[in-house]
Amino acid sequence: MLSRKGFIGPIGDDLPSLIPIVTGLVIFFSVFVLTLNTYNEKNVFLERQMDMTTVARDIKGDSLILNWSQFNHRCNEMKLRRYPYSFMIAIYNNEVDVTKVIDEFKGLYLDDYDSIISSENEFSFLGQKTDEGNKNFFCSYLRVGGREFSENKRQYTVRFYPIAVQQPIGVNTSNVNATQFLIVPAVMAMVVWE
Amino acid sequence: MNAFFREHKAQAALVDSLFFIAIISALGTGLFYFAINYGLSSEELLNSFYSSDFTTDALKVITYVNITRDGEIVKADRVVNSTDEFDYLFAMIKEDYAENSKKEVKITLPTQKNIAKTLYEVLKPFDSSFDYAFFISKEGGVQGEQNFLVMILALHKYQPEESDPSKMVTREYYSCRPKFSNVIEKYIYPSVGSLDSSFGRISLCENSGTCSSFLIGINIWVSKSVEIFNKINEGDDTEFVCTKLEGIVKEVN
Repeated sequence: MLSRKGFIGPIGDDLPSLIPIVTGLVIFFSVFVLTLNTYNEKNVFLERQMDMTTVARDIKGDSLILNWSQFNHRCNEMKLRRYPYSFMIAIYNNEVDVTKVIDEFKGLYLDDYDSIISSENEFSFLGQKTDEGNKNFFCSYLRVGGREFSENKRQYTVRFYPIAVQQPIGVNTSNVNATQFLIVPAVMAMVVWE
Repeated sequence: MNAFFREHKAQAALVDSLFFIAIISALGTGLFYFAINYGLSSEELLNSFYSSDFTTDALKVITYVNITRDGEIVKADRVVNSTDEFDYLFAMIKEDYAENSKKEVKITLPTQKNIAKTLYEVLKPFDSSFDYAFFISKEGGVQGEQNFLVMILALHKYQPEESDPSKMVTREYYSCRPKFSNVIEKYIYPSVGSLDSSFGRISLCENSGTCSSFLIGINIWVSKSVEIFNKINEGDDTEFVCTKLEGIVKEVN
């Protein structure tokens, strides 16, 4: 009887030590899950940034776009690489209000061929007359299974770059319609999302 | 003795569990610290790639764009007159240097203004956020020796006493002739914290045919109100020795 003094039971006897053990395990796994999530999220963010830098460099080339065909050719090459992120790139003239660009992107809806099917706003992209008609300096890529940017509730990354674009400029002459190809300053805006 | 340990078994287990929670806390703190700091240096590196791309693009675009001999930049949706003569900014700089290489001021005031107008047009969409310095200097110049061919400084001037809010912050351009070659590193860099730079190399020739190599560069930083800029804006700095270029923004608009 003497040796069983204070004995409550197999569990009851260890109850005071079980509480810190369970608390410790809860703390450890909470921090572990938090760390794992943060690690994954940061990796996704860094990869998105890397891809964005690569795509932007390839589209810009030497910071000079000679014509729409060149821009479109570079854009199509980008799409072939099958990036794990969706992106939209547009070139604006140097009068653009960069704070409103993201709203314009949010108003765009793309089809399966990455072309704009509808827009909530008027486009303000830089355009150019080509043999196929007026074309905008706009490039988009929606990854397989990706959602529209307007539906994107998760994080996105946006970047702006100064760029030069060669544009056909009308020359005011009295009798003939002349065109001069001049290089104008512009801004390339780019948004990348999951 | 055996009876004593049997009686105190639960207390030993409690101490063990407290050790366990101490170890778990240490591990948890380590993991949390890792989660907070993971990727920061990579993110910083990627941001520096962007900054570097931005400044390099800006410098390239300044050299690419066509301007009139009066420094007007053509707009994409405008029509130009058949009498307008378009050129590159560097053509004007090269002409100036060839004609004035023996004079103290090698780049004339009209060309300095054209540089300022081009800078304004190229960086217009980001005008409210940044200040910048564009310069052409002798390559391999001795520290302390005045070796700037031209330096255009674009600063925001804060005028809190102005009643019209739209005029409280104005964009001002200055043509500077610093006494020392390291003025940017010495006075601007410590004040603004972060400076994004891009450099290139150009060759300018005198009329005699003698050519020299020059460094062309742009430094961009987030606009801030710091002492050295306030001094320049008030016209009493002794390091940059700046003269205000009048009407650049007004003339362009």
